Amino acid sequence: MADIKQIPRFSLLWLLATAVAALLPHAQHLPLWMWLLVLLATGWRWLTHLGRLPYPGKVIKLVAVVLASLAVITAFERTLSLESATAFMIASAVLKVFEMRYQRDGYIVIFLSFFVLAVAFLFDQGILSALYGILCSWLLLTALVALHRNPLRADDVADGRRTASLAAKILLASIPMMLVLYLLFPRLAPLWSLNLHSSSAITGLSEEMSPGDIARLGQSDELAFRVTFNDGSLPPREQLYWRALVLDQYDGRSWKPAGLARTVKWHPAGRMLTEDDANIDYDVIQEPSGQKWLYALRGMSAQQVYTGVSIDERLVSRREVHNRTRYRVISRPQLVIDGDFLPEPWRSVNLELPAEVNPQTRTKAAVLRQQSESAEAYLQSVMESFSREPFFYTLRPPILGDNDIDDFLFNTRRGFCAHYASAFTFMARSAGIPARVVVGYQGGKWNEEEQYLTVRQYDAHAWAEAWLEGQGWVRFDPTAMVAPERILYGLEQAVADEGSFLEEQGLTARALREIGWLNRLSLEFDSLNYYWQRWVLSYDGQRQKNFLQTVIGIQDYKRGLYFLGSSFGVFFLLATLWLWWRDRPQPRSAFIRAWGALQQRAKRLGLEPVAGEAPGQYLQRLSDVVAEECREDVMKFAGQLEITLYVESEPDMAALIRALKQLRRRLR
Amino acid sequence: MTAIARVLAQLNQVILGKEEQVKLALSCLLARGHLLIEDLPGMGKTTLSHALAGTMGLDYKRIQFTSDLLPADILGVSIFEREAGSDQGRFRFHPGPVFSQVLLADEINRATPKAQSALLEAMEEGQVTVEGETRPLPQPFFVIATQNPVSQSGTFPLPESQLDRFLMRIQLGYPDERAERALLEGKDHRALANQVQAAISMQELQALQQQVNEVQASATVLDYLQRIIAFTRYEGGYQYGLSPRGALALLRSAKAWALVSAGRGHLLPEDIQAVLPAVVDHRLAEAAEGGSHAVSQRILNSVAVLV
Repeated sequence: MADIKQIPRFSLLWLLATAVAALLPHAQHLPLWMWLLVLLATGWRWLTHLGRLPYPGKVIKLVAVVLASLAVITAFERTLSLESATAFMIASAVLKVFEMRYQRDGYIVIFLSFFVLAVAFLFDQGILSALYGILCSWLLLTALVALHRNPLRADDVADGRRTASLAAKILLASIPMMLVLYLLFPRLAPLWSLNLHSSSAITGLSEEMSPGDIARLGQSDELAFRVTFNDGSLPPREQLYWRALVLDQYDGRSWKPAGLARTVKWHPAGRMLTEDDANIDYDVIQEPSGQKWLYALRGMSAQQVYTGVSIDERLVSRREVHNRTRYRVISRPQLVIDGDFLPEPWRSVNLELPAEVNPQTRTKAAVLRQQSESAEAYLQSVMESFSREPFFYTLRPPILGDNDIDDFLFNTRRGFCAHYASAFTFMARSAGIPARVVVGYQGGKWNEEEQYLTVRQYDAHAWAEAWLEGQGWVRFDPTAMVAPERILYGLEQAVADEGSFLEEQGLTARALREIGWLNRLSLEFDSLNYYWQRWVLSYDGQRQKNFLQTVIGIQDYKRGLYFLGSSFGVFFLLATLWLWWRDRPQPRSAFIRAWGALQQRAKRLGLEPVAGEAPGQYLQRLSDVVAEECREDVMKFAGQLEITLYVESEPDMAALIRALKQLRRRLR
Repeated sequence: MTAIARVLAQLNQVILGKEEQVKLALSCLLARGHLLIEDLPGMGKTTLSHALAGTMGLDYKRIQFTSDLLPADILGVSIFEREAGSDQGRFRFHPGPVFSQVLLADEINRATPKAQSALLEAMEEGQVTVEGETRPLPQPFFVIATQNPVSQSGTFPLPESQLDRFLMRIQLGYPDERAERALLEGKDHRALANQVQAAISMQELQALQQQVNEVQASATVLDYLQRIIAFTRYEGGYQYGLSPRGALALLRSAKAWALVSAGRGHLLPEDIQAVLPAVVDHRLAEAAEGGSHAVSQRILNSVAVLV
């Protein structure tokens, strides 16, 4: 039994506390019964510690394992997703806490907790999670140190503060290594892109626009993306139309992208913009959307590998965006796109309308087109009709009938951007003008101090584009005619009277937005998180390469790895040197040095010093090997040494050293 | 011939070829410590203890420890005595063998822990408490105990607390060839041991004990002693280091050794080294399993005398 060590009583408390602390980040996505399991396992273990309950027997453990596995399988309906896999792993970790008995079980619990903690970063990588992760690592290290405390050793007192401070020192000492690994460890692109959030829907645009979709987004204040402009200033708000999707097929109910629009010119091929003051150069940090489209202003030019510009003027990514990504774009909003000629099949796709739908609208379009001199004039009068006639901007539109656009234009006249964009596009196509619906975000919230733009889901917007000969694709936003404040100030202002802004979030959430200092605080926190994303999380392989090239001057990965390896070497060398310096032999006294010199001399006479030998015994042996005439000197010195070191209360060391040196010379 | 030389000469006549152990035993008594002699049966343990007591001229009693020995057999007992010719009577205390200057506790580990612990108070405090009354023991008071190795059958190992009360534990070992031949040719040594005459007087003994106290220990030698203590506590890998009492025991024994072996008035590292096995081996248990007899050798090899 001697080699199976029990868990020191003092460290058990740490173990239980840290095991629970490592679980906390998973609170959001773990089912409730899991916490019952955690409570049961830790509670039982604690009662065992207090001597109230025995260690769980084999049968109880078996039952617990079977029940927990069944519960996981049932709760996640036998699907294999990130959540179910995590829940299964956590259930196993908790059961390990349950049966923890010996020191080696303690190790397993701690290492499992580290893993559980790491898994939490698959769900959230915000700055709060990071800070909590650091705190938890410290707690886990403390538990590990506590597990090593030896209760049998009197000087190894079970003192929580000392244990924690030792763990903190270990953590601090590892910071240089953390930094080196963060900066230099190869950032391998994932071999396949896995949608980690399979079972939790992501709020955002969808590929199909039917009435109500954007209104639903209007209820969400989730972050969509953030933008920094590389010359610092915010372009005019009327230009901030962030394109995500182009919908050019109408089936009488909803709009869809045409299947043809997959042609993409990937960076570095594709459109190159000449240097121009009108160019807008910006970085976007995008939240995971699970889709391939990215966000950019019109007239865009992709600046990054794996991004490209599609033929219908959108920025797209090669892979679905499952992680937060950062990319650079340059746009020229004034750029003329497809100016002289709209090729087939685009022309016909953008003119197509289902037959016998919305007859009233078609009639109105025909009348209006006849009254107008040109296509452009026609579109202008359609736009004006929205402001002239009593249209209302609302997030609570009435339900529309079968001919939805007819119903909307001539009957209800209440709706939001999607309704207006849809109606406008229909009007344009009815009059033989190629047109399409564009979906994306409009505007955003500008953080004046930190100079960045935050775009949230409620900034989602839909507008229309029509093709005019000579001018190419021109943007028309009928919403701006109905509710100009939507474009200039955002959704909150546009529906201020209605009170429908974020109404599903409940009264308290909205009331909290009214409190000034709380708003400022949330703004501060938002910018903190923004910096965290911009400078820490978005450090990917590309940026690493740039860093290696510009800061360290390394061109290829191989040298980067050498650099990584050698910085490890340097680190450990420094640590070793420091340890050696700390435990370096103390400088020896003059007497000991002289004594050592004498022993060196005596070695020539064949006299080896013996470990732990008293000087008297040594000199005795010395007198046996020296020449006859020296013998008396040795004995005389032995007497002097004994008197000096062991009799006199204030020894005359100088005289002794002199005599010692003299003796050494005599031995020559 | 000094008192010490006389005592040693007489003891060496009885115990042949064990000069080293005899000197250690004498040092132990001069340092006012109790002595534990451990060896196999028939190695001369009892002879040595008899001879020691006799040579010192002290009043001694002997208890043969057995497994049915009771505390009262050691400490004494009150017995109701009727006064002659009357019905009246009273309890009178009959002191046990512990009330003597030297107590020979033969085969101490054959007795049960209950009987062993009866000796505890006596050894540490020089007094015994029987039936609620504390009685002082004569001065000086020594316990010389013998024991068989623990591995022998029918033994109860002494607990650490009790082992710690013995200043030294010595082993006799087999005699060398020459001494064995002399033993075989000579008289019955056990009888000889019982016949020994006191070699020194009570006053001389007390003077010698006083001299032990006056042996000087310089800073250099105390440094060495402390390095040994520190080694046992923090480095040597022992389960427990030497206690402060153990440290004092080591110092006192070494001083007595300085006096007994060379008549010196100051302490040398050699003195500490000489008594170290006897003083330390039974106080330190190795962290790893295994005999405790090589414990002191590791200390001697590892702790530098001069730094």
